[in-house]
Amino acid sequence: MTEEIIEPWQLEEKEASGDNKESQKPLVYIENLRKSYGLVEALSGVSLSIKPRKIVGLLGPNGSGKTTMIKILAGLLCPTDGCALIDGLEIGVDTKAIVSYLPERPYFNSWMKVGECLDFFEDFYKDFDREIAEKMLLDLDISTDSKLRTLSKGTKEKVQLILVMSRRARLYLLDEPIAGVDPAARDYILDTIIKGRGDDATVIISTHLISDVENVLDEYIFIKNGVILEHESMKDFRNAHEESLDLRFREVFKYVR
Amino acid sequence: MFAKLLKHDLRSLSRVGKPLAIGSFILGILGLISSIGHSLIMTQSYKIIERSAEAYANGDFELSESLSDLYSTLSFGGTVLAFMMFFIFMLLCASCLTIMVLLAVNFYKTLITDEGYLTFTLPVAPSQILLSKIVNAIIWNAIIMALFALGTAMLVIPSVTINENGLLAVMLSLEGYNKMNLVLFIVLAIESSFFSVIAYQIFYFFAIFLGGIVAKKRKLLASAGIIVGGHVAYYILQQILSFGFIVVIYTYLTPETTDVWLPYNPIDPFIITNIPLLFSFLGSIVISVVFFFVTKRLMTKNLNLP
Repeated sequence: MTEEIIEPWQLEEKEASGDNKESQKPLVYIENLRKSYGLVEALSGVSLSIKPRKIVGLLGPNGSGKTTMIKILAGLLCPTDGCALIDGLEIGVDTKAIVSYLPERPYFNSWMKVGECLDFFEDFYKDFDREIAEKMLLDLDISTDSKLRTLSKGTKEKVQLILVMSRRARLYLLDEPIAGVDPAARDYILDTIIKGRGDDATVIISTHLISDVENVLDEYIFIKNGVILEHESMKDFRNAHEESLDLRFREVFKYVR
Repeated sequence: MFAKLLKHDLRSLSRVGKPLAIGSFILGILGLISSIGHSLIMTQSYKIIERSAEAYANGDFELSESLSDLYSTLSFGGTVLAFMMFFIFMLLCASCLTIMVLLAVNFYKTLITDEGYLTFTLPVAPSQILLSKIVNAIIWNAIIMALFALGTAMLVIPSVTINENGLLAVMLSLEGYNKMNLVLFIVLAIESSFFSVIAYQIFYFFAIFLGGIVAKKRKLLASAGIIVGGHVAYYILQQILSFGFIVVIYTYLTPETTDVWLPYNPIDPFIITNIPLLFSFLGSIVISVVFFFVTKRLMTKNLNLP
């Protein structure tokens, strides 16, 4: 019987493929995170960790703390207490270089052309792939010469999503990426999210359209009033529940008269 | 990264800054034409009225009346041009104010509104973002103030060179008016004004950012309140310092004065005009540095974009 010789790069690949999943350090680590706006507590001591190469759904009703958590990770809010680390680093310049954030609102100046937005991202982000961005714009029939103010709300959101997903980031934070998009484009966008992310990347999606995204998720987090109610892998969820995640969401968050 | 930030900041303001700069330059040219016309008219007017008086004294009443009528017509034209020159000067002053307002609006839009989501997720330190805004403000203020100075010079120079009876020419011929001190005064005034403008601009940035993160609604109103409060506080401080300065110079710089309120020896104009300008310049530097670091701290530790 011949002995199999394992080269060092093969050992790394084996580890990366998941044989040593438990030993991988989390990409996102949050401990006792609090955020208060005066007397209102948007996040109440949230703790969680997310490993690399996961697509995680951050799900909850309006005002549950989803956007607050995402904005803290993106570096747009300072937490009141607790800590949040991305790839072992405190939120700052270094994490912003590896995090690609899509807000739920348009954030480019309306007088800019689509091509100028590409120039902007190319200037500031080393991991931005212009070729991929231009190809996706072509697929969605969006001209680089168009001014943003002439585009519809849905088209502007598509442009932003294309810019965000054209980066080779470690972490993608997508706040309502498909809310304002027509159903026909949703599949394209979800396909882009799955295929567009790098091999080592993690995606956190905050959305209300659970039925559209549940088939692409690896994990889900239910959050309400700034507290995490559930955080499970989709594999464990399907083993434990016959219902869909959408139905489970409605059950957990149903409004009582 | 800083160079890229500055490039984008300059570009974003150039959409309105360039037309404003071109407009200021055109105003300067119009001012020059008006000033030359006004000076020529006033010079000829004096000669005509002199000749009219001469003709009257010689008994040539018809000629005297004709020349008087001509003088009236020319005077009217001179008055119209004078108003035009005044109006152009006001517009030049307005252009300096406009660029400050545009810079403040640009700061608000790129940091406090939805565009702040883009700015603050860039992989750059908050201090670099703030410094880029300040350098952008320095460049645009320098351009517009230079055009203001050029436009004002174009309004004034013909008055000195053509019209020997003009106000500035009369001032310069006054006994005891030291021309070198006047030049130094003008240089210090320009320098002090420029640094004052920059200090105000940095203070406005601080007020806008503070209003933006503290107020949930009516952020602009909150920022305006901080700006007004700051101006009032600065005015009070200026009055206190000015009063103290006057007391010091009249008490200690005129040794023969026996009564502090009635100086018997004339004070050198250099001290009266240039020392306060120097203090103003130093004060502007202090204000700029203090508000830069305070705003930077707010951006780093208290960022709360809605």
